[in-house]
Amino acid sequence: MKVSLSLTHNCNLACKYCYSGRKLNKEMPFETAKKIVNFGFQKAPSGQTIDFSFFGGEPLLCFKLIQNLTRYIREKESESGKPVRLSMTTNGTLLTEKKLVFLREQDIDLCISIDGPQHIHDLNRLYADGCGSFADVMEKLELAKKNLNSFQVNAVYGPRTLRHLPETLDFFCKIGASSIHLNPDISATWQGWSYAKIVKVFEKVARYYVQNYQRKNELALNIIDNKIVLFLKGGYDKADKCGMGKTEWGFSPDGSIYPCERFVGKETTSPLCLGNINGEIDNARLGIVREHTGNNDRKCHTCSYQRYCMNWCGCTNYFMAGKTDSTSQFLCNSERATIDVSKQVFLSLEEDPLFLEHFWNYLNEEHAKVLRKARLDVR
Amino acid sequence: MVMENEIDFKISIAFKGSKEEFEKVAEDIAKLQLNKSVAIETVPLPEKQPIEFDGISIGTWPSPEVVIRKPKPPKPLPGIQPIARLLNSKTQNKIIQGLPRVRIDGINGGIRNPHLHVKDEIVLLDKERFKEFVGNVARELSNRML
Repeated sequence: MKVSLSLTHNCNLACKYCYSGRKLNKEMPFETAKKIVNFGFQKAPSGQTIDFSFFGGEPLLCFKLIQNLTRYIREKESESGKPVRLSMTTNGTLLTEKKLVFLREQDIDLCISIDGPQHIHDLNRLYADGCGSFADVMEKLELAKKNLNSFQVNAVYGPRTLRHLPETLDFFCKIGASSIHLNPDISATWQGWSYAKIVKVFEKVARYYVQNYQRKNELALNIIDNKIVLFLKGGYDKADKCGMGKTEWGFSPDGSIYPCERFVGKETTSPLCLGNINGEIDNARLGIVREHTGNNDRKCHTCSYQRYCMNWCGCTNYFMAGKTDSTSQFLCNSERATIDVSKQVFLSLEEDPLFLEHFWNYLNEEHAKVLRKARLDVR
Repeated sequence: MVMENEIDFKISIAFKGSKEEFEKVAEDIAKLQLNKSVAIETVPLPEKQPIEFDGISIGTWPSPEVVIRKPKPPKPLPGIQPIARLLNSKTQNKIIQGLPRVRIDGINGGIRNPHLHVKDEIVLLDKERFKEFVGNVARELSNRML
């Protein structure tokens, strides 16, 4: 169960590709936030981990709310026995030592949005006056490294920055990111030339990944690691797939309900707004959303990549293909390239001790807490 | 989507009348699916409307429609997800030989710790068996086209 709270639409940056609603200066009231938390606990089946994620806008603009909300969530966790994982995605510019200590003490996973070295990052991640935010993010990243055991980075690449991905990856390794997420700009116009380009770029990324392990440097990279886990488990399970309006919910600052955080936008006028936490859920609309999840592209059903393909991601499909249950040509090419290079990486490193250690830890540590809380009946 | 031996039936209905009358109509429509002697005609969905999203017209979204759901297939028993689909049962049994079988309640899927499924139980792999498992998957994968 994933519950994403957009705590504010306000942001101190004005990134060019931001999908996160209009920049209205309003913060989620604490009472509304509590109702959302209660909703999450009520909807989550017993024993299932509830992922509460704070985002925005810039969530650190309402740090007091985060503090109060975190305490409330932890109390509910103890009462209900349902395990909780907390995370926050931030542009990082407002981090302070005090805030970092709080995140560490409350076990909140921190993901900092940074697109790569300065000449890439400052192409899109700008202040409202047009100045780049790179220098400030880097300063706060250093602070995060001192105060946290680990931090993740999230980079968005678009048609203009795709070719820089290998350089971006190298940069992230050098700054010591514990986990690297590379995500395409789903609002960009991806033209035909990018389909061939992405294959070449991902091949370079894969070579870099393999070389790192051969040099005894561990590397956690979402696009490759996720696919390798899929090879091990035999493909996506039902539980892995998009749960729009079932196991995945996004909430805007005024309490409007959406089937995914990426749809949080134009408040109640959005056709994907499913009601308000302070009122009722629009069940007719919810029914339509649920009916249009998954992938209904007939061509995908005979594709040999299907088992490992993320063609079911409703929000990506919606923004890139116009429908939640139909895949765009870009995603198709991107997924094929990712699966192909991940297979090559897997076959190159399957006996590498560090690589095996990485996946052993990756699979075990994160869910160790969940398993400890579950009732085990060992024969 | 139409697959072999499977019908996905959608219909768009405009109805005016009382609740009781509609319930009767709904019943009749539901029967259509099961009555194979009735020709089933796929009615095109209503015109898709472009929608405004943050001032930008993005894609389309279907109009509300009545969707007649086909009966759901029976659910598999909990815990029998074919996790190790790449490996045959002989290889799998060799890997898990001697390891304790565990039944886990209250997780509802989503266990990420390396494990294999045997009927309604799972076998959590230790580190050595995990390495063996990875090697087997790699060998299997290298022989297959994705």
